[in-house]
Amino acid sequence: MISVKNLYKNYSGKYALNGISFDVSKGQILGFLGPNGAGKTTTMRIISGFLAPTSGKVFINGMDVFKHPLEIKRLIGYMPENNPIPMDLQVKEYLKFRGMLKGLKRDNLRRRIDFVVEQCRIDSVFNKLIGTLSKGYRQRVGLAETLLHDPQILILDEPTVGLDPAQIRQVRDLIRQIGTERTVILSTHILPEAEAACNCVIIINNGKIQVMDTVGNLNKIHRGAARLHLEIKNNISKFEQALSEFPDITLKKANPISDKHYSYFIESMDYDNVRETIFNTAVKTGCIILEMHREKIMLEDVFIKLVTQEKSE
Amino acid sequence: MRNIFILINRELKTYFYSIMGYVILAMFLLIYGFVFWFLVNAFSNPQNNFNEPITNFFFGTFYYWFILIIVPPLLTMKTIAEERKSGSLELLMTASVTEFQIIISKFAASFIFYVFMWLITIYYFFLLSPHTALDWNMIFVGYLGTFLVGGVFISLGIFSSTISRNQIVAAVISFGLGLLIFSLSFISYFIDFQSVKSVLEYINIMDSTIKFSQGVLDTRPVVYFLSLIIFFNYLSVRILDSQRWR
Repeated sequence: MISVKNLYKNYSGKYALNGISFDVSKGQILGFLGPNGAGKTTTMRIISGFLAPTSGKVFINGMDVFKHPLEIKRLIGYMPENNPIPMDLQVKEYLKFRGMLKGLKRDNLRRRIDFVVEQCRIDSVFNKLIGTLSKGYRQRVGLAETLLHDPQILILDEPTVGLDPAQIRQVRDLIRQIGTERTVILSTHILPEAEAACNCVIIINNGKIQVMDTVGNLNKIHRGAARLHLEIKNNISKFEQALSEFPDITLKKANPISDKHYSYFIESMDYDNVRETIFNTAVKTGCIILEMHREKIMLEDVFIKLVTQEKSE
Repeated sequence: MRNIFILINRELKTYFYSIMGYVILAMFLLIYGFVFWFLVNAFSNPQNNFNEPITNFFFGTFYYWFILIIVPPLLTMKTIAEERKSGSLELLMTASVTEFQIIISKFAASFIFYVFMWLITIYYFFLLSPHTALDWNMIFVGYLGTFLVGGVFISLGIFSSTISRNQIVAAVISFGLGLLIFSLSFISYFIDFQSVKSVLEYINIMDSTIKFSQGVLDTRPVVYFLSLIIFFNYLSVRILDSQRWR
């Protein structure tokens, strides 16, 4: 669907993009992750045709973005950074203006407006001035606008920036719902967001792709060691001693809760067996396990690891 | 073409939905009301003996030139610069519109507002008509000249707005360039070299406009003004287009 080939972008002598290539297939929700200034916005602007790359090509449905700008723009719904929608229009007027600009006419225009208003749940502010709306509503109006011409591809640049947690969740749900029939590319520097909304992630830093994979795979590959959180009671010293006999298990004491009640972090390369070993050891030493759960290693760890690796090189 | 109409409609809303359009309109009418009152007083004084029609003065006072050079920068400074600053230019350019459509609709909207502003002053001539004989042809040509020379300054203003990110900077550039182009008119008075002089006379904006106010409809200034308008709008389109390559 979207094929990005070897993009370079030079801003007055400094490369913002350093050879970016990737493919996105239909129905994917791709998350663009990276620290500020990594090249996320530049890449998205190039895909949407707002900027031209210094070298490299972007194909959408086999069409070169720069040879067929108008056709490509019809396929894409693009929400720029900070969602710059005009404050002096009503939601109604704005959607009508943008819909007409996107080539919708009369009945079809009315139908599409009704549809996006319902889908983005902005019917309660339909007649209000955009300038008077809260940021969450503005963001939804922006999203509604991108959906007006029923685009196959949505490109959203930081769609949840500046929203409160409840609004973030709403927008994220909306994106997931929209993404069931469309290809979505969204950028963010908030990792749980990418984890929650996307099925595929690109981590980009200094204009280079560090990694591209599905969220599940990334977690699996970069987990490294399984990390368990454990809370036990009674015979603690015995338990510690018994467990120290296993060379591949490292035990780290966390804060003691009381004399007889301790919590630990356990790291091991072998996630499947370590839980059994701990259980058996506890039974043998007469300990009571109060709690044992896997610490979920988030994309954040992967991200920090990749980005800092780059720096230390 | 449809896109251009949609965009013009949107641009006109920015004038009529905001206080700025009304402030410019009100100040203009205040100043021109004063000019009219002043002229009527001067003409009705029996001690003055004017041999020229009132249009020569109506389209030729100091105030006329002042408005011609001040108002277009104010009307156009926001057009592209503000959109670029807020980021909505990105939104506009990623809809299926071309750079040409964007520039031409911005120009057209500012021009329509400018024309609207001047057309209100026709009322003054209707006020006069029962009391004196008026040459409506002359008035018509005077307005035509005003619109054309205004179009030149408006296209210059759009150009200035296209090259800047800040609307104040855009206004200063278009005011400065406008004054400069206007002042080119005076060079011809100081040059004796005949071939250069005739060129400078041809590009003399002030004299060309005065011809219109005298009711002389000459094609040369019409062509000259139209080519300036096309030239500046073309530059704006090219600059807007070039920005994606930077």
